[in-house]
Amino acid sequence: MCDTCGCAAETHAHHHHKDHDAEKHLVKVEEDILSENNAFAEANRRLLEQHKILALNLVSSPGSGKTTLLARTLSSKRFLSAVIEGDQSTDIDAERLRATGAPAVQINTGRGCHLDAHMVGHAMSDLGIGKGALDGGVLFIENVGNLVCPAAFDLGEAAKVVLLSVTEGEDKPLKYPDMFRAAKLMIVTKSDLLPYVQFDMDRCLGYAKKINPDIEHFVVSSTSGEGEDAWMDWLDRARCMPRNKGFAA
Amino acid sequence: MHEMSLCAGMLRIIERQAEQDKFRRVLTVRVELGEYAGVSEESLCFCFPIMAKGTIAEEAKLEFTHTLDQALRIIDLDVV
Repeated sequence: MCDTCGCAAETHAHHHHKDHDAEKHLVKVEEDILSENNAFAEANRRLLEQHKILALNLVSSPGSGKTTLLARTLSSKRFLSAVIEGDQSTDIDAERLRATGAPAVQINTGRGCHLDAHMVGHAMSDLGIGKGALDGGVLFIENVGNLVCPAAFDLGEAAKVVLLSVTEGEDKPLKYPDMFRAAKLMIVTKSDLLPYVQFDMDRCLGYAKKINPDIEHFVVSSTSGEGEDAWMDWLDRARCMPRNKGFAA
Repeated sequence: MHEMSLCAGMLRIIERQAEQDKFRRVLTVRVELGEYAGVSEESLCFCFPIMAKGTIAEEAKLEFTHTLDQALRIIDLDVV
């Protein structure tokens, strides 16, 4: 640390230190570091509410079955739906979901580890949201596979839905508490694999409730179809609820 | 990992403030960081100087006040 002014630099030219004592002063800022993202998120949320669209932000580690669950959900044709897909690269997922007949927009985050509300706002516009497309429907936002960073970024969704597959281990809610605290619903996926893996369901649910006592949950298999009706019914109920911050977790 | 984009956000706030208050360099950035903000102090300290290189905050050090909520904000700055 520089011992003249206490700045972080180890060695740098101190030609400017003459002015420190005379001019050093405090400037109040009092601004949320996420304020820019949060302003975009609020704008997204307002537009979604105006058009009675339920937006859900699906989060999980990579490979927990978000896209497969979405493909099954969209194929049921029970809801008017659209998808915003987030991945570091490729549009494999968006293409896979378009095959169900639902519109899907891919966002590639490049080196980014999460979707932000600004990107999502543009993708919503690409889907025609606000111009009549998807009015009264459901917008699924499939976030980048990552149990850490997406927890911090509000996208304007009504709720975060966290997926956890039985192959990942029951201790994930304790290991990644921020995400399970931010989610309104936890879906335990790949339940058809339970006979082949060491996964203690009761312990998993206990850990999740310990982190977030209000979290709801379903156990689902996109292979056997177990739990899919419960998930679809939940979607139906959520669509009818007032989509305000009271619903958002 | 998302500390990089948080640092970019911090720098945008600082640059905006500099335009308003006409300061030339930032010496200290005081940050309020909540236990549940999902952000690590260590990674912010690692990322900030990298992102701040070439800006008015490139020599700034970060000081933290820890809280028990989700706070993540810039309280104030020491500037010249």
